[in-house]
Amino acid sequence: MFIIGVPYSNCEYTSVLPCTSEPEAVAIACGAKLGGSECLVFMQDCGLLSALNTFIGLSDTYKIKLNVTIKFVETPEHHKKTCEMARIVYDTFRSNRKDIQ
Amino acid sequence: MTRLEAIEKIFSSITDEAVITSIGMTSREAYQFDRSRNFYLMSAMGSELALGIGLAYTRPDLNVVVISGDSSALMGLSTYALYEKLALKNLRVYVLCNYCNATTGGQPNCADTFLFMTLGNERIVTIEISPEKGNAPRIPMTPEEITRRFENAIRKQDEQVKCG
Repeated sequence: MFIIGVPYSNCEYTSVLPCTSEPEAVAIACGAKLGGSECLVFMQDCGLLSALNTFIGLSDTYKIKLNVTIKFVETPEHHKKTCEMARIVYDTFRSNRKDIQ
Repeated sequence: MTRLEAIEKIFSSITDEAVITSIGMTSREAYQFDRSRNFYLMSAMGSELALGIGLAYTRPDLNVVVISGDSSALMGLSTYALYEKLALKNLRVYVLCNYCNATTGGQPNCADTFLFMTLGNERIVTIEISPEKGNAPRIPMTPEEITRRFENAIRKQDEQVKCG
């Protein structure tokens, strides 16, 4: 399994490559999958928001199937709005896609 | 040099490489040189180089070429840091510079800075092109058709299956 993503606090995964952003991690995973490798992409909740366009425009549109795991982290008050939005996106995604855990 | 001429020149040096092209007219004009090992991005602007890195890194048996417009390169600029760090031998990138978003009407971008940053870098080939939009039509294939054909074309020889 080709594991790639952007780390968060107490992250249980190690990325094969040092990604610079979540959209990049998704695109790299798509490239690996095109080449025949199974992939796991990991990121935290707010990363999902920034990666949204790549998830939809690349993985979804081009039917490149990825395994994805999103970590919902404990967030300080000032960060709440972002996380609420991430939860909405996550729930919408999950109802459409079985590959998001 | 027009974009089409630049793309034609790049394709004249290509044999069995997998080619990934960025969104907009770059992909549409690359389609004029269509082959099964071409992957045309028509969405997810700025992700072409990352896509190429994922493919080249996991498939050392395959040579990968990324052709990117300058605005796309700027949108995915942080990926160039990873590209430099990895220095993969089987991946090369061409950036076509017209200093504007030609597909959407010629709005200026900041590619002059990009050019300055990549000055003397042999791993990033920048080609200056004229700012005309060009008139290549939209690509008639669906994204899924592009994916499936590409996957099959680059599949390792012993795993090759007949398509369609």
